[in-house]
Amino acid sequence: MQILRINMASLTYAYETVPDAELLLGGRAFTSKIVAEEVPPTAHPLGPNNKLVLSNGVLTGSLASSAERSSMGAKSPLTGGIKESNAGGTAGLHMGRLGLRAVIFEGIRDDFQIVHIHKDGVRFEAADELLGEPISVAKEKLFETYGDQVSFYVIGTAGEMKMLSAAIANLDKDKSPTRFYGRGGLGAVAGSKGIKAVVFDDRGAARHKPKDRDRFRAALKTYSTWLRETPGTGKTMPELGTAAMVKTTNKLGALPTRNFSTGSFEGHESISGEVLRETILERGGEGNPTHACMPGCMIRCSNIYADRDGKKITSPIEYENIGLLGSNLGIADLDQVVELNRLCNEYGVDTIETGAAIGVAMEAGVLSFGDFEGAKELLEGLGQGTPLGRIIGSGAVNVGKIYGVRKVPAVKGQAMSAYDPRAIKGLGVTFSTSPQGADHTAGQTIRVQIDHHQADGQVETSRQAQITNAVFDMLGICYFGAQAVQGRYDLLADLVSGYVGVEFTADDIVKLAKQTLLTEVDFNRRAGFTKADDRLPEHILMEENPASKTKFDIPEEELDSFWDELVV
Amino acid sequence: MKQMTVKVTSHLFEQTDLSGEYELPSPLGIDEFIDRLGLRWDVDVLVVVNDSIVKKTYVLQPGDHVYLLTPLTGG
Repeated sequence: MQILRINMASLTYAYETVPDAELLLGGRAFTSKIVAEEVPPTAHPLGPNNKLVLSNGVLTGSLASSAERSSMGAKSPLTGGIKESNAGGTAGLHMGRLGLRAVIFEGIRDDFQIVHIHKDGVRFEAADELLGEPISVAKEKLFETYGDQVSFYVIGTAGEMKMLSAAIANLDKDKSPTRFYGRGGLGAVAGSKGIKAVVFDDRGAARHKPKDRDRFRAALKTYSTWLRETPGTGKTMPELGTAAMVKTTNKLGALPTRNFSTGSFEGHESISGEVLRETILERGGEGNPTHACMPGCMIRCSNIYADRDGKKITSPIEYENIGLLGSNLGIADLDQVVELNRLCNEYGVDTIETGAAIGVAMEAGVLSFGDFEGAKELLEGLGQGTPLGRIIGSGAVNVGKIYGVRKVPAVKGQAMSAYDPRAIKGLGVTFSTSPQGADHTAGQTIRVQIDHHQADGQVETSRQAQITNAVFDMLGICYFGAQAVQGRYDLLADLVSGYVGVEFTADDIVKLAKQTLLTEVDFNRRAGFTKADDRLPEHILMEENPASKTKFDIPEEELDSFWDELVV
Repeated sequence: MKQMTVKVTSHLFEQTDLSGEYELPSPLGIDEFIDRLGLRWDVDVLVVVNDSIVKKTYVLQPGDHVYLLTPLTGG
């Protein structure tokens, strides 16, 4: 297994070999270690001292179900802190087939390149023909040049313009460029380095096989059974996708509505997972309510949404997108949500950050809540780089600053995902304390059968969830699988040991996950973060959520000591 | 034995037919009621009574509104 270092300033590269003892360092564990050790905490995120780190999870390439995820890491231009963002798709699989655990990009440049990685090395080619195009068009041009058997990472126009909400896309298993490393503006970091696309061309490369096939297969059989027999992963997600959450969060008063002013939306039924599924099935054609984003995934929470003629519009329509681009904007029409989602995908921006930014613009009176046409115009302006479009693309916090809005749903500069933290208080703890900024994938607590409206037990619930998410992020497994694994990490250790051929225990995995979290916290402190950054927005702390009739009342001292109490 | 009525709203996929009013003996624990519905506590369902997720030890009260929600590590 190798690491490839590419200097984008000089367009040179070199390979390093991963020692056996470090084979557990995958995904987020790898990206955060490299960023913490090699990026000065005070570096400008778009400057020459920042690095963009791509890393496969430990199991990425093994074809274990839901384990084809890869991570991107850097100092975030959105938060100013350490960032890891991961996604499914196929780029990690192709990268792994080239024998690469990770690629580290260094340096910056002003023009844009396509980085073509093949079995014999790296080539750099001018990306001029791709610039300014929607991502779907860029994809076609990349296929024309490199053939359709490759996979790649690509940024959109938002990344070219180094917008703070810019994301990085890769292909799903059906070659749709709609799997996003969305959070934290990593597309802008790629843009600053002149990386338009990274193509993984694994033709002629040897196929990866588990080092201990019998052990891996035995563990895989049990793991697959758990996924199949758990209702969430075996039935609900394949049928409804993550949009199944809409009715749950709406009932709990946690569905963000009109810039997080309340947690229940009168139009939630029409944007629910059930209506989404019915709509896709009724329209038929290219639509599909059950779709895997990566090869071999049994959960298949993705979907393909088609128009009334059955022609594909985009994929996937997920809970977060429905929450931020639907209820948060006062929009109750599924087709309208999908169109906003499509535009975000085409320009390459984080749907969560963008939905929150438009919500703040609505709060400011730039447009009205429920104004779909106005929201669409804002997004089109974003894609074109108009002044207002650039403001929206700068994220929710900057929109608030520019328009004098104090009610901005963000922590550490990053917009909250689609859960009102006053109604799901464990997620409020995660939003507050995570070194990643407000993000549900940093420590999701909604699955736990506890009273989410009460303060009791939420701090420990969030701490355990943050450890769990770090475990899955380093292994390359979708965290949706956590509901089936239920902390039984001995099996994951068997999968890992069987795949890489080096003995690792459950304790090794959990210990590394904890170390990764503390490494991230330490980086942020060295970058200038204080405990004051571990707070929800003031208005969220002061005001009651009218739907749940709750306030966020976790004691500040418990937030302050959150990381001190994490014992490795 | 005393009787009570509770209302159920099910958001569970393909199990919305569990919605309705139930005549139940009183007292009755929520865990036993969930079991009677053929559901596994904390596996098949997240249980909300009125507006709050309840513990397994909760005892149903006359007039309670039970919501059966989808348990997902989602989003």
